[in-house]
Amino acid sequence: MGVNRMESEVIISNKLGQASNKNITAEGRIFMRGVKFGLVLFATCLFTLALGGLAYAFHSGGVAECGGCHSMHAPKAGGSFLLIGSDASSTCLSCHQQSGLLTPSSYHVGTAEADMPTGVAPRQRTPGGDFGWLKKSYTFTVRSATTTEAGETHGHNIVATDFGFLADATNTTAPGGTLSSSQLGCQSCHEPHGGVRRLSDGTYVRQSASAGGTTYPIIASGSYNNSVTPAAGQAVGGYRLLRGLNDSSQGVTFTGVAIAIAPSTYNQTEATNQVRVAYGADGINTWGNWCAACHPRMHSSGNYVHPIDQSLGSDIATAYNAYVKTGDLTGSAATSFTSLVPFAENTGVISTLQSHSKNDNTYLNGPATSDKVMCLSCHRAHASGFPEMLRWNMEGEFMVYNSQYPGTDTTPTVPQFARGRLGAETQAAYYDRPVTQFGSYQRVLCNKCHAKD
Amino acid sequence: MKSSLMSKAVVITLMLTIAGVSASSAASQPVRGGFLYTLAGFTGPLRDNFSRVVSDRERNEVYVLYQNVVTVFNDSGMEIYRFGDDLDLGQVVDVAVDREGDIFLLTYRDSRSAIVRCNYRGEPKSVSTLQNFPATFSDFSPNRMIYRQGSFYLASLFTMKLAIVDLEGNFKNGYDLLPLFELEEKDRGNVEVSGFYVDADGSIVMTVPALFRAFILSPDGTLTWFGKPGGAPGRFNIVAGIARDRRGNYLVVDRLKGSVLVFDKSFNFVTQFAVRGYRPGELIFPNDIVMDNSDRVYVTQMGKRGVSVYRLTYN
Repeated sequence: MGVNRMESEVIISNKLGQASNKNITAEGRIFMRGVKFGLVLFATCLFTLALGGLAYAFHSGGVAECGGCHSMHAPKAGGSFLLIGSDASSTCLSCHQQSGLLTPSSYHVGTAEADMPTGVAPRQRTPGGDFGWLKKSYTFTVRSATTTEAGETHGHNIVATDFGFLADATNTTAPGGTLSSSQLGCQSCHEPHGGVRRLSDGTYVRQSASAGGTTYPIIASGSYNNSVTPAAGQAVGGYRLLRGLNDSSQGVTFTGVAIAIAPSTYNQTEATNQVRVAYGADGINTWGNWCAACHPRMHSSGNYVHPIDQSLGSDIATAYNAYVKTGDLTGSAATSFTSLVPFAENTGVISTLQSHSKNDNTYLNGPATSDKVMCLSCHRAHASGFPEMLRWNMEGEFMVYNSQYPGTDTTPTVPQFARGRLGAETQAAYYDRPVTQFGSYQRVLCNKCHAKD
Repeated sequence: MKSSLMSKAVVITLMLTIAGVSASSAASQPVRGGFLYTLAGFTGPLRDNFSRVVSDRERNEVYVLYQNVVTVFNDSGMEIYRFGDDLDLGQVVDVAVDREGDIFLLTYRDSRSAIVRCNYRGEPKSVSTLQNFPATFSDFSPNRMIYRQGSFYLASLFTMKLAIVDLEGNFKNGYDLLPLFELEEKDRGNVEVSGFYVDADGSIVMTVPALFRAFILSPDGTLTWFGKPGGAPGRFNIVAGIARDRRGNYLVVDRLKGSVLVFDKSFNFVTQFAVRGYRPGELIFPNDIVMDNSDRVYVTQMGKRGVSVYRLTYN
C-alpha cells in the first residue's frame, strides 16, 4: 500500500493508542511485530471461520474445531488448556452424551441419567460400551445375604465431575499398574488432537506440529471400513484417536499402536445384526500390549493368568468355530463369530480388516489358528452391564436360566443370576440379543473358546 | 525501558478500551437476564441432570421430565404434582400441554412410539399412534414433541427428520433436514439437532452443534441460519437448546460457555447471561431452555444443578 514496514508499525501503534513516537527501539519493533502478527492471525482466523463451509465430522481423525472444546474468552476459572469443563472428560461428554436419546446413536458413549430410571438399562450399544452402566448399582439378596453390585465395577471410571462420573473408590490405581484412578479420563486413552497417524503405506507415525518440522497432514478418520486410503505424504488418524508409539504424556507409556477397523455405523442394537470391529495384531502392535500401558502386571508373562496376545491354536480355534451355544457344537467357521467374544486377527493389513468389519452379518467368519485372544475378547473398553466390565455375566454359572434372561421379574427364584436386574436390563447388557440365541440354560461364554459345557 | 513503558501503555489502553466498550455495551443492552432461583420441591432445590423442561403458558406452570417422571411446578417454581414413575405409561421421552390443560406424553413401548393424552392428573385418556407416514419416514422415531395450534411437531434429533402430525397422529408434513442442511446421506448419524423449538407462526427453530449454527425453517420451507464458531461473546462453542422471547429474540444455550446467548430478530448478537460455574445463577453444561409468559427463562443443566430460572428485563 506504499507504506514501508516502519511506517506500518507506527500506524499500528497509533491505532492502539500509543503516543506517536518514531524513535521506536528494536525491542519495541519486535514487540509491535508480535502485536501485528497476532492481530493479523486473529483476523485471518475470524475470516476463515466466517467463510468456512459446513464442518460436520468434527474430529476427522485429528485435531477438531478448536471452539468445540476450548474457549479463548470463557474457560473454567483455575482450569487448564482453556478447556471449559471441570475436567477433560466432562468436555468430551458435552458432545458424547446427550439426553433424550432412546436408541443407540453414533458417537454417544453415555446415556444421560434422565433417560435411565430404575429398571431401565443404558441405551447406547457402542462396541466399547455405555458409560451409563457406571451409574447402575444393583442390590439383591441371596440366601439372606444382601449384596450391592456397585456401578463402579462395571467399567473404566473416568473422572467427569460435571457429568457425575467419579474416580474409582475401590481401585485407587489401575489394576496391575500404578496410574492413579483420579487421573483416569477419556484423555488417558484417546489423544483428542490425534497423535498417531496411519500413512499411505500402512505404517504409523506419531507426530505433532512443531516449529521447523513437517507432518503428514491427517485428511480424515482412519477408524472405519469406509475410511479412505491416504495418498503419499498424507495420513489418516489412528484408530479412535487412541494413543500410541511411545506416547507417555499421561504418566504411562503406550509403546505400540492399537489396530482395528470399525463399521462406519457401529452403535446399533445387535438384536438382529452384530457389529464386528475387526481387531488386528501386528508385531508389538497388539491390544494386550496397548492395554498394558496402564495394566502392565495384568496377564504379563510369568504371571499364572489367562494369556493374551497369544495365538489361539488349533484346539481353541476349533472350539470357537464349532460352538453355537450350550449343548450345541454344530457350528462352522463361516458363521461362528460373536461380538460377545471377539478376537484379534493376526494381521495389520487395513484393507483386510476393512473387508471384515461389518454391521450386517455379512462376515461372521471365526478365527484362524493364528488369530489371537486379547483383553477385549472378554472385556469392553468403556463399560458393560456386568462386573469387571466383562461382556457377559461371570457372577454365576448361568447366563440364561430356564430360557429366560435372568431378572427379578423373569427368574425370581434364582436371584444370584439376576443380581437385582430386570430381565430386560440383562438383555440390554447383551445388546438386545433374543434369548433364543443361547441355550435354555446357557453357561458363561468362557465356553465359546473352551467348550466345557 | 522505553519499550517496557510502551508495552504497559498498550496493555492499559487496551484494557481501558475493552472496559469502556463493555460498560457501554452493558448499559445499552436492550435485554438482560437476571437469576431468580432454582426449581424446588419441599425438600429443597431439584438436582436433576439434563432434564427436559416444558412451559404451560396458559397456567404459567412448568413441567420437568426426568427419569420417566413428570413433575409440575407452579408459578413460584415450587413442585405441586408428579406422575409417571411406574413405567405404566411406557418410556416417556417428551411432554406437551394444550390450551385446555390436557397433557400429552410422547412414549415408547416395545420400540413403538405413541402420543398419550392425559388429563391434568396425568391419567391417560386416549392413545394416538403415529400413522399414515410416507415410506421415507418408515424409520421415524421421534424424541422431541412440541404442541402448537392443533398439531404436534415431532423431531428425531439424531436422524435429522421432522414431522408434523394432527391430534390423532396422522402425518401432515415432514422434513428431512439432511438435504436442507446440504449434508449427504453418509453424514446421517454424524450430525444431530440439539435445540428444537417451534414458534407461534409454525417456524421450526433448531440448533446443530456440529455445524455451530442455529436454523430457522419457516412454514413455507425457507431455511435461514445464523451463528459462527468461536469462544468470543456471540459466537457458538457447543450450542444446545433454543427458544424465543416475546420480542422475537432468539435465546441460544451454549453448553461449553455455560451461557445463554441472546440474538435479535435479525440474528444480531445482543447479549449473553450466566457463566459457567457452580455458584447461584451460574450454569454447568446447560442444555434445554424454555420461556414462560412472565419473561422467565428455564434452563436445565448437568452437575446436579437442576433447573435454573432467570428473568429477562427489557430497556
